[in-house]
Amino acid sequence: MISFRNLKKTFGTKEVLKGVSFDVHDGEVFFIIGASGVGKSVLIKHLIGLIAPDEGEIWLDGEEISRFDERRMYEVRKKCAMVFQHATLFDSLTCVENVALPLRKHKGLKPKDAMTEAMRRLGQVQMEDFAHRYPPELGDGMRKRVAIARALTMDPRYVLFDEPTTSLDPVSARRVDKLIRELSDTLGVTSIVVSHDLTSIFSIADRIVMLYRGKVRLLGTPDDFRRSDDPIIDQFIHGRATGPMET
Amino acid sequence: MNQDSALTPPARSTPSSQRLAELGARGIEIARSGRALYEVFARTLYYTVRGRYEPGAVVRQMYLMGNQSLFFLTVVMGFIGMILVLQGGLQAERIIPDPTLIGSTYLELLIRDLAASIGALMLATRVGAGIAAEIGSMVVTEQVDALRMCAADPIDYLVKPRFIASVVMTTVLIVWSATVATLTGMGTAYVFFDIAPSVFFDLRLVDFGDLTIGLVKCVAYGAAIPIVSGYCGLSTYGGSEGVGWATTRAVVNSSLAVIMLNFFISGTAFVLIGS
Repeated sequence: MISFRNLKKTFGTKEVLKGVSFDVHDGEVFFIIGASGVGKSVLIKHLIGLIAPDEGEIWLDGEEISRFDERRMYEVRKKCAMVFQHATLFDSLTCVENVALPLRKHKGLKPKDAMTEAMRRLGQVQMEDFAHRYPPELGDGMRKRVAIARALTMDPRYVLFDEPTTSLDPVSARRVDKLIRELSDTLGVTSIVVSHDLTSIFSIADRIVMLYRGKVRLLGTPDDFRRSDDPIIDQFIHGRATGPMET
Repeated sequence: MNQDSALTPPARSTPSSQRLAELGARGIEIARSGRALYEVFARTLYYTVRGRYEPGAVVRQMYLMGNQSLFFLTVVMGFIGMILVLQGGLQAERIIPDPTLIGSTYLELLIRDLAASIGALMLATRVGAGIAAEIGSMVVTEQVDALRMCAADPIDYLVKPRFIASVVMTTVLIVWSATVATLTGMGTAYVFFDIAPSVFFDLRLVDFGDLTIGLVKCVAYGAAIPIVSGYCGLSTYGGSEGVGWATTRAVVNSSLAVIMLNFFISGTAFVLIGS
C-alpha cells in the first residue's frame, strides 16, 4: 500500500502541494486528476524520489521512504516503475536497447541476456517487430508502448503513468487503457495514473482523487464523482469551460 | 502575547539593506553552485575509477568531440599562429635588430601556454555548448529522470564518458593545434621576416618543465570543460529557454574555468620549478 501523509511542496514562492494525504490500495487502478499545474505529476514524482518533499511522509509497504538517499531509492524504483508523459525513450538507443537498460542497471544482467529478455518484453506490448528501430522513427503510440515495456521489465508492484493517453489517437489511447486495466486484473499491479482523459478515467478507474489548490478536493469511486454536487467537481468531470474552477 | 510588539510596525528595509540582502543571496547561490559543481566532479572521478563502462560510449564521444572540433581548431590555431608571429615580429624588430629569436620564444610560449589555453577556449565554446545543450534537453524532456528510474546515475551515464573523452581528445587536439600554429607561424616568419624554417624551429628555450606545464594544462582543461558544462546541463530548468541559458552558462563558465586554471597552474609551476 502507498500512503501520502500531509505532503507539502513549494517551488520558489509557489506553494504547489499544501498538505496532501490519501492511500492507494494494492491492485487498484487509481487516478489522480485536477487542472493543469495543480501538482499531479509533482506528487507522483515524490514517490520515486525524483522530487523531495518539504514536509510530510510517504509510506510504501509499511516503510517511510521520503527521506531515502538516491542509492536506497533504487530499491523503491524496482517496485515502482514510471511511464513518463512523453515516453522519454533515449533517442540514441534502439527500442530493444532502451528496454534492456534497466535490466542491465537494476538487475545487472549481461548485455546479451538483457537483450533477450528485452525482446520478450517488447513482445508483450506487440512491439517486437520494431525492436531495432530508433524512437524518433516511431509514432507516439508505439513509443508509449515501448516505454510501458521498459517500465515493466523489473516486474514492478506499482506503475505510475503520467498522462499516458496524452497526444495519442483515440484507438491508441484505448489500447493503453486496456493495457493498464489488464496489468491490474491479471498481474495484480497497482497503477497510479495522472490523467485528464475523462474517457480513461470513467472506463478503467477503481478510485479517483481530485487535487484542487494543492489539496485533496474529493477521493472516491467514479460513481462518487458522478454523484458529487460539488460545483468544481461537476465542472471538471463535464469539461465545462465556465464555472467556479480556478485554473 | 506582548501587545507592544504586535503593534510595532515591521522594520522597513532600506535600499542599502536590500542591496546587502541581494548580495548575500547571490553569495549563497554561488556557494551552493560551487558545492554542486564539486559534487559532480567528485562523482565523475568516482565513476571513472569504479563505474561500469557502456560499450562504445567513450569512443563515440571521442569521435564526436574530435571530429566536430578538428576543422574549427585547425583554422583558428592556423590564424592565431600567423597573427602572433607577425605581431610579435613587428614589435621585436623595433627593439632588437636580429629577429631570429622569434622562433624559439614563440615555440616556448606556444608549448607552455598559448596552444593549450587558446585551444581550450575554443573547445569550451564548441564542446562545452554541445554537452550542456544535449544534457539540458534530456533534463527538460525528463530523459534524465527516466535514466534515474533505470538505476543509471546521470553522472555515470552522461558525464563520465564525456569527461574521459574530453581529457583524451583535448590533449590530442591541442597537440595538433600546436603543430598547426607552429607551421603557420613558420610560414609567416619566412614570408615577412625572411627567417628560414630551420632557424625558426629552434627548441633551445623549450625544456621539460614547459612540456610538463603544457600537458598538465591540456589535462586540466580537458577535465574542466565537461564537468562545468555537464553541471550546467544537469541544472537546467524550464523548457527550451532553460536549455539556451544552460548552454550560455556552460560556455561562459567553462571559459572562466580555463582562464582561472591557467593562472593557478602557471602560478604553481612558477613556485615549484621556478620558471
